Amino acid sequence: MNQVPLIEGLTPEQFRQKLAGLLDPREQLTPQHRQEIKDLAIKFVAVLPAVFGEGLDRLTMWEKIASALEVAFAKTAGADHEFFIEQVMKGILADRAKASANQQLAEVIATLEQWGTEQRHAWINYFGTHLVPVLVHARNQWTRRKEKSK
Amino acid sequence: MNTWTVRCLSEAVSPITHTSGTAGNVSVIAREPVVTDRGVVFLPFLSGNAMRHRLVREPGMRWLIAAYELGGKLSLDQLNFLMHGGNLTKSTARENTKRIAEMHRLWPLLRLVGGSLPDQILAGCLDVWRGVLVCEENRPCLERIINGLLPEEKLYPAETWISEYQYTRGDAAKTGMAKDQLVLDSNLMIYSGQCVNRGAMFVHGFVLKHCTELELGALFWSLRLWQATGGTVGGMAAKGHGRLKLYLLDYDEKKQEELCQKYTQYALEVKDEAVAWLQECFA
Repeated sequence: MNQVPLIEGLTPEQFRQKLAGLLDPREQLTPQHRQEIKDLAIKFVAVLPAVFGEGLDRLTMWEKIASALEVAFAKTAGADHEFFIEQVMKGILADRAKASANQQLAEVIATLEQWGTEQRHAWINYFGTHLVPVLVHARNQWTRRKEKSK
Repeated sequence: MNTWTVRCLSEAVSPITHTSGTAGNVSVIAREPVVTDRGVVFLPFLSGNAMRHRLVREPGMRWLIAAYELGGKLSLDQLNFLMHGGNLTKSTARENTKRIAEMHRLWPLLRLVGGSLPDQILAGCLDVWRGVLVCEENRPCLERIINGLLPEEKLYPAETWISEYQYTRGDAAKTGMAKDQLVLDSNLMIYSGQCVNRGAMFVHGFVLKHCTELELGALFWSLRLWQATGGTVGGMAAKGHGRLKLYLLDYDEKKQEELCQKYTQYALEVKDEAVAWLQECFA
């Protein structure tokens, strides 16, 4: 008998604590927070063509950007947005000089630094769950910007 | 005689691959249609059939076979009766009340799970609930099972808990050791499927209808044996899948131990009579 362990019992309080780990953090965010997350994700991706590595083929640029985002998302655990951005930049062999001088990228980073951990985490997760829509919006934004500057 | 409800929570500590078939060459997990306020959705679940067998009948019967020193001494029909429920094979089926009464007295576990002798069906008194995935879509169902214990905040949706695995099976061609090998091309096989992710939780339970504490002890003893031997459900256990960590909601450890002691002592006390009953039924 002693060699067969007992089954762990849960009090109602312990049971509630177990289930607390299953709460969806996205649902804790307000609709405004969620919109901010989406807008910032699009803004970030729309910056990437401007810093895209010179040595890479620009004909496959959006494919490489998608792939860099996927890899960065897979490598990032938690809400470390700086690590995530670094991984994306590595994935597209970003020009460091251009990246450090890019005003919009600086704004993205500054906004993320103002956000709480939950919202930053949700921002990173957004790339894992909404990558294609983000790419579509970002590409449109980038195209509009390019045409404007002509 | 009492009716008891035992509510459980099981946490997936490895991917769960309780599958229902294949789609193309991918094995898909078992899902059930659930009507929600957003329409019908198909949610993963653990079948009562699998839970009944893996958690109760199999571990409990294996212990009895070992304790009664029946290993290697049972016919296939007897073994099928104990481990899988048996089959009604004789055309002269009958109702032998005395035999049922003796089974109830001598085999508390059989009283729970029932079975079929070649000439008589023996009803069980254990209802096994399906494993309900803890997710937002299942909230109405969960509220009925664990009334008052569910958080008000939204839970993760079901799709959060579903992902895919992919494995490869090698080919010995690469070793170059086969005597009849003409070419060195390897024929690597990739196989994949869906799984419920580690960390998912299922609420499930058992209802023991009009039973004694001996049957309740038999249930707890089976659950303990199942947990102690890995606690798996579904397939791919050999590859690390299917492990569940079980928690009981309504019974503390002291009561559980007391009931298990009572059952195991009783089962050993009636060993000779129980074995004689089994032999007589299959004589």
